[in-house]
Amino acid sequence: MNPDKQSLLLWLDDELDAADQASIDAWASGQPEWLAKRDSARAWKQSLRASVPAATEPPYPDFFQAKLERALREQSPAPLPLDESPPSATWWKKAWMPATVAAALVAGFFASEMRQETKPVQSLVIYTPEEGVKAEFFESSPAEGTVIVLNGVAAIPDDFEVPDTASLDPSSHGVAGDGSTAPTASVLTP
Amino acid sequence: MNKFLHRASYILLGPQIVDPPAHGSAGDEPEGPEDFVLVSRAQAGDMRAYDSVVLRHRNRIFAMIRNMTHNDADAWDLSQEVFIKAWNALANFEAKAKFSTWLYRIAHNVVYDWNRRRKHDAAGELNDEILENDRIDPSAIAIPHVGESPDDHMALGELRKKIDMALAKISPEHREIVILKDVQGLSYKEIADILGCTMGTVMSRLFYARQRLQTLLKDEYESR
Repeated sequence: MNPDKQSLLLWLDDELDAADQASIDAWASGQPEWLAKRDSARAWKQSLRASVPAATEPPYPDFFQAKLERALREQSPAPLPLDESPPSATWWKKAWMPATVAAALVAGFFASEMRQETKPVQSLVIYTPEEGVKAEFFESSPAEGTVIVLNGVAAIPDDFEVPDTASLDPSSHGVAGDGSTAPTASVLTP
Repeated sequence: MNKFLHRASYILLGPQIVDPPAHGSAGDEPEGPEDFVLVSRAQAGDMRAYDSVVLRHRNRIFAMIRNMTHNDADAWDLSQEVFIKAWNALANFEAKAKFSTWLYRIAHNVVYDWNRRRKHDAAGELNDEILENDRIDPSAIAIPHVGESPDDHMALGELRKKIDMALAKISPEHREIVILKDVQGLSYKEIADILGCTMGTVMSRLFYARQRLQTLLKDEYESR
């Protein structure tokens, strides 16, 4: 008995289970044109797979992961399914809500008062493309400045000349247009 | 007979003796018990587990999108979008289907939206000047990555170049179905699930896509 069209297409693409495959193989043994079609289909797929990659690492894969992780942390947590959503607040929880909000405001005020000293910022994801280099990011509100410390960078040769694009204009060095003192760039030392 | 002629005749005409491909698979597909455990932990909010899930799937998702968009930068951004959307919808994933099939479905939707936006914004033009090498400071430590230059493209294998060109000429719907079936190695059933249509539709669409692609490759050959 001739196989149906859908089974034949699945057979051509090697998608049948073993029993159906054997059944159509037996039928096809007397059908050279169908055997030729299957060989041709296999050759076509093999050529495509040899030429067009099925798996490719994205450029800068570490940065890919770091950026994705930061994006996920910056947004709210993944939503729960509907049947697992938290139950609505009961009356006693509602009664405590104003006191909880007031306590949170007071705690927030004291926390902002205490955050005066310089310390590393933990929420940032810092990506260093060079292997072995570690970066730390510091932010100081009183100094109104930020510093990035790179550990593990190769020594800068003595004959390295800082290109124009990275130098400051001597005439305006340290003085802004309105006469006030502007922040100065840090100096690289070996 | 040059290399292309040989390979084209191999594709189009010749029943050659070849090793059959793996049953419905393009090889190193990261599906299995380990994947299932990682996805379950990620569903419980474990971001480290999700990081591992991304590591296991990103190369196939990126390749699929790269083959659709023919652009590294767009594929990079769209792949990020896929994994962000997957994280946000993770609670809705049920282990009835393979996780990779579910991811491909998200990738399909993301690329579909991108194609629609691109058609809408087609009036805008890329400012090529910002990518010209002579406008970049020669002392700069890093230079912008602009993907394959035409020269680099010429250096690619002859057949790869022809297939890339032919893929670019067919419709996005046909291109996607050829990539999912013949490059990624998915089954008809998986593709039907991803595209949200019947297996019959997938079979019919794939038939016309292959026919169109093979005709284009034949034209390339005859024009030489």
